[in-house]
Amino acid sequence: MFLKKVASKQYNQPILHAMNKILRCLILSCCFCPGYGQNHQQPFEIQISPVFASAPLEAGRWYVSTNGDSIQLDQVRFYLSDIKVEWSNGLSVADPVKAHLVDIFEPESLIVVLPSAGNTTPKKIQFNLGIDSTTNVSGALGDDLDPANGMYWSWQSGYINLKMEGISPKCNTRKHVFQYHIGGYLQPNRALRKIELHIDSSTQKEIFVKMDLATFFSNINFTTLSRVMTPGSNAMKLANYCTQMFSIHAPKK
Amino acid sequence: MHQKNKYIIFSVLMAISLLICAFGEVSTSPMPLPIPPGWPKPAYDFSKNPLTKEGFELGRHLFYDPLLSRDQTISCASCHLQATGFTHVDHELSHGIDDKLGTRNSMTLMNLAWSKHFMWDGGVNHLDVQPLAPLNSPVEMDESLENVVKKLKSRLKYRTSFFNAFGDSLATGQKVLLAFSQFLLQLQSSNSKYDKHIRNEEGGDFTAQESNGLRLFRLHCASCHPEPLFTTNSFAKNGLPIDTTLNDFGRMQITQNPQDSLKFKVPTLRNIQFTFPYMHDGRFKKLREVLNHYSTTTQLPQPIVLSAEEKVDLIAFLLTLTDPEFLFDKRFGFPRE
Repeated sequence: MFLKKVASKQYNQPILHAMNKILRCLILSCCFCPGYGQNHQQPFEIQISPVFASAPLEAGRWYVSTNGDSIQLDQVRFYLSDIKVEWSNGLSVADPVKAHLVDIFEPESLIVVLPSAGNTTPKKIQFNLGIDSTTNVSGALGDDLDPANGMYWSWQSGYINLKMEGISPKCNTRKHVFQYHIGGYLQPNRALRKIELHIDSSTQKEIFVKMDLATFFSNINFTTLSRVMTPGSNAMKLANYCTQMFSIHAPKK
Repeated sequence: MHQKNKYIIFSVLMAISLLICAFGEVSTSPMPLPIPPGWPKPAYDFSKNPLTKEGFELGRHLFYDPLLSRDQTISCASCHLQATGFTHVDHELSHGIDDKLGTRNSMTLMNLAWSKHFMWDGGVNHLDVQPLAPLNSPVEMDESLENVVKKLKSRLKYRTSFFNAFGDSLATGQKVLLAFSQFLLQLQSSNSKYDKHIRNEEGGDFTAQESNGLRLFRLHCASCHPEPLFTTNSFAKNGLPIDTTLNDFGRMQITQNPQDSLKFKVPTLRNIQFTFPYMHDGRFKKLREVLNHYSTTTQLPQPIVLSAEEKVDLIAFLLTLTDPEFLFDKRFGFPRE
């Protein structure tokens, strides 16, 4: 209806013609695009499912931790790197992409696609929560590792492995804000954590990795620790809590 | 009729731009860094960021552009002036945005390809990521890389230069930082009177005073300031008492290791004639004061004993580290279009 209206206005016709042509060109070029349709095997999808206990995670919603603290989350972003999946047929498939920046409030960032291993089922998944030391000293990197993503410290070089920010009335800070920027690549404060999860699944297509923020906050005492923005013992402690969040989640059929 | 013409023009333009996309190739001119004979291997890995004329020019424009600061008042050159060895002359503590004062004297910028750590406390681990520190500092440029990228994308001038340097007109954080390194790496000082003296070139004849100064230098100073870079690129405690108005403990703030308390990066001494005031907090205005500190402090592993005449000779030698070709090299200056 709307298109018809526009088309009836004469001065727009050439543009519409041109757009039509461009569209046709695009469709044609897609058909001849090399590689398209060559992959018989479906890629393997890893889906991150962020939850707070049994509730789905939403920005601006109030949650209550097992300690009785009310919590609202504004930002949860973190790096998943060096993902590797082991399959029942003995194959091990590594993610060709070094690192993914995951934002729990950006649905498309919650899906990581890996090449399939064929007609077999996944046995184990390994990944790093954060960025390894070598990458941390490799200068200016691009894509998800671009320092312009705001996951990089400037006064002391290094990636922020995980950023978690929100509010809780228990915080004795301005506006009751808590800010956890967890990172550090130098010993003894290396905050990277390796996570390994066993998969008991018959699916060849996808797995769901549950990320339960309630387990993280069950460890937190907001009155004593509401702000961590440097590498050190507090960041190490928080990094340990982070590892407890992840588990394999059997999807409902 | 008029509309038909418009359509034809549009189609032709489309066709041309498609052709450019299909066959257009960006050609860059390589600009490798000449390594002076006898110098060690650079620490920077050039294979990851091959130096080109176009990349250098882009980095140079970024270096001199106040667009990088929050309110477009401060550029890198505000605190790093070429004529004074790319440092902030005559200010104990360098100042940035809104006339705010920092806590340290800005460092010089030269021969950075050989540097493994940056800043007085070595908090920055790679030349590529060094520009982030002044960019984000609330007393320097008070800006974010995200926003700089946004600003650069909106400028036609930069879209062209990013295309010329990287084959893509769209700026990214990575490309901004790589372009900065391209410029900074070229800031090489290796043509001082001292260098000519070592290379037995014209203009390198030392006076008796300068020769004696070099001898004294090698005896007393070279363990921390070895030739030809005049720095070990590491951190040292040089016996300065803490300034209680700043309480700057240097390297310890990064490593959290008490052994690193009051350790600061050993700066190069090249072009030292113009890089005053001296030390991380700019507490000494004159080279004489620096030598007086080193010859009176009891905090060094080996005391430095210098007579008044020897101090004069040592300073005469230090002045041979001035490199006018570097300080007045037009390639490194403000880019006039």
